[in-house]
Amino acid sequence: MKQYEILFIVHPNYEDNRITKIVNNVKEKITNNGGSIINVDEMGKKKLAYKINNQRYGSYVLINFESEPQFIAEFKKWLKIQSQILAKLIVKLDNKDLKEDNKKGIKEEEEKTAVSDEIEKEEEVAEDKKSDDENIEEESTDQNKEA
Amino acid sequence: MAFINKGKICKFCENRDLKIDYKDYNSLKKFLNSQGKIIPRRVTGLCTKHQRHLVKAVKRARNIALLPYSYNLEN
Repeated sequence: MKQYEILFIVHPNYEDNRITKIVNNVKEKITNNGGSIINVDEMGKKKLAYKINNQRYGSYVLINFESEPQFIAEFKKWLKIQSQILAKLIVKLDNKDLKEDNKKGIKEEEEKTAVSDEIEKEEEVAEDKKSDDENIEEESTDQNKEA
Repeated sequence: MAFINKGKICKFCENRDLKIDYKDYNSLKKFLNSQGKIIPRRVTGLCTKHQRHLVKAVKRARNIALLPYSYNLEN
């Protein structure tokens, strides 16, 4: 068994209850194939850096799970077929990462509550973000001139 | 957002609590130029190891649309 982390984007038309359905489907797929789920984190709706299937927004969901390496190839194929999932990224966690996580496990739990609060704030600010992005680009061009 | 380190001491070696994570795209943005390209080690002042981790993290973030491949495409 090895530890993996999957981050996937759900189509923006699916919200609240419908997202949990999709997340549950993914969880079932993992558990039915001999894996076990460690942690689920719904990161909320965010603006995508580029359009995927003509969508500008998407809801990010992060799942930490444990499974046999042979299952991953099949899992990727299955995810590709799901029309509600715009994109996915599966990362195998190194031993180094895991050690550090165990050390900081208690701290992270405290942080997570703080992070979830931040995400809620971000969603409120999401509409204003467009102007923020423009500002960032302007700043970077200024700094390039200085360099 | 250029992060220029003239002292040539790697930021991540100096402060071990700083982690390079592809999900933390806002801090990765410091290592991209206005076009969205990764700034070379010569400028960022990172050590070989941490620049390598950084590049991997940026590429992962691009893959999952947290960071753009290029800022000029849509403009």
